[in-house]
Parts: sequence; structure tokens; C-alpha cells
Amino acid sequence: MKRSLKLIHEPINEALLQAQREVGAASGAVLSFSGWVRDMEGEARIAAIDYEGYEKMAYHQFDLLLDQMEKQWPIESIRLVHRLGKVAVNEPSLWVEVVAPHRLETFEALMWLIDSMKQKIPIWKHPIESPITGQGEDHGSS
Amino acid sequence: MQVRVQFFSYFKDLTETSTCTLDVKQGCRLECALEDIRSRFPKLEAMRRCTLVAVGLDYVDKDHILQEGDEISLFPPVQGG
Repeated sequence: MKRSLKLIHEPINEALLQAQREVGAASGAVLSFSGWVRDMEGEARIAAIDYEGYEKMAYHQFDLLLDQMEKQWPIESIRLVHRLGKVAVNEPSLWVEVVAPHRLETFEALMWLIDSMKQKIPIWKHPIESPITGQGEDHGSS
Repeated sequence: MQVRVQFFSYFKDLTETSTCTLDVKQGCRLECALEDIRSRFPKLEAMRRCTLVAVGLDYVDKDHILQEGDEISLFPPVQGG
């Protein structure tokens, strides 16, 4: 399984990532997901989230997760980018792509990876409140 | 022997530092070091049930035996994504 993991401090360039996509002849499914920062965190309206990461450990733990993923599903490739630092509302903080022979393994593997990431990868959110106060509509979770 | 301790996220606020060093006995288990850390930084006590602990780059259990130069990391539940 080819793997690419990046923790970056600049905006995620989804167009570039899509342009760099490589799909082998044996793969029939490409699934990509991006997680975006919402304008509400709990009850507070926010302007951004400052993501803090223990980068060395995050890379290591991601590698361990991908080792497990590789044993469980026949994945051709995985690419994952997580942004750290300040990410404004309406910007992506996470981008993941899974390429595999069939759609089922891409959906299962992607769901599993994101769920596992939220338990194992040492990254924390620090919401930055919006100067515009007041409660708004909760737009749901990614 | 000495081990290094580092804190992440709001644990840095609770301890008012990001790192410290700790003197422990040879053969000290992680659990013993954690008690020392909590007595030095009492505000961590309230977070006992939701504290994640790693030594080096791996999560370890409380019976892990520490080695000279180990780096213990304490942090709250992770929130990536």
C-alpha cells in the first residue's frame, strides 16, 4: 500500500492533491474526504480553530494505524493531509484519499481511519472565538 | 535517574509549563512516576480519568518500566480532524 502522510502548516490545496492523484489499473474506487472547520464549537460561535499537534508522535501513530489498515483492507494507496495551526471557518483541516479495487473497502477503511485518528493521533483543537458574539445555528458535524 | 515530562494542550495551562524533568528510581514503573507528577502538579489530579500517557512515541500501560532518558507525555483526549 502506498502511503503519504503530511502534517502541514499552510492551507490544504485540494485541487493540487486531486491533480496528483494516481490510480492503478486494478483499482476501481477512489474516495476522498475533507473535514472543514464549522462556525460553531459547542455553544460558541468561532472564527477559527488552532490545531496543536505533537507531530513526531502523530506521524508514528498514523503509521501504526496505516499498518493495521493495510492488513484489514486491500488498499492500493492512502494519502492524508492534516493541517496544524490556525484554520479559519470554511477551510479544510483534513483531507484523506483512499484508492482500492472496490468501493466497499474504501468506505470502510476511510471511516475506520478517521474514527481511529480521533482516538489515537495527538492533535488538539483550540477554538478561537468569533468577535461576533451570539449563538447561531449549529450546522452539524463532519 | 532522570526522565523528561512534557505536557500538551490545556495540560500546559494546568501545569503552567510544557516540560519538566523528574527524578525516578531505577526500575520505576510509569504509574509511580505519574503519582509524582500529580503531586507536583495537583491540578492534573482532576484530569486523572481523561489523561492519555505516552512514553516516547507510543501509548503504554501503567506497568511500563521507565528507562533513563525516557520522555513521558501527558495530554487530554485527542481531537484531530
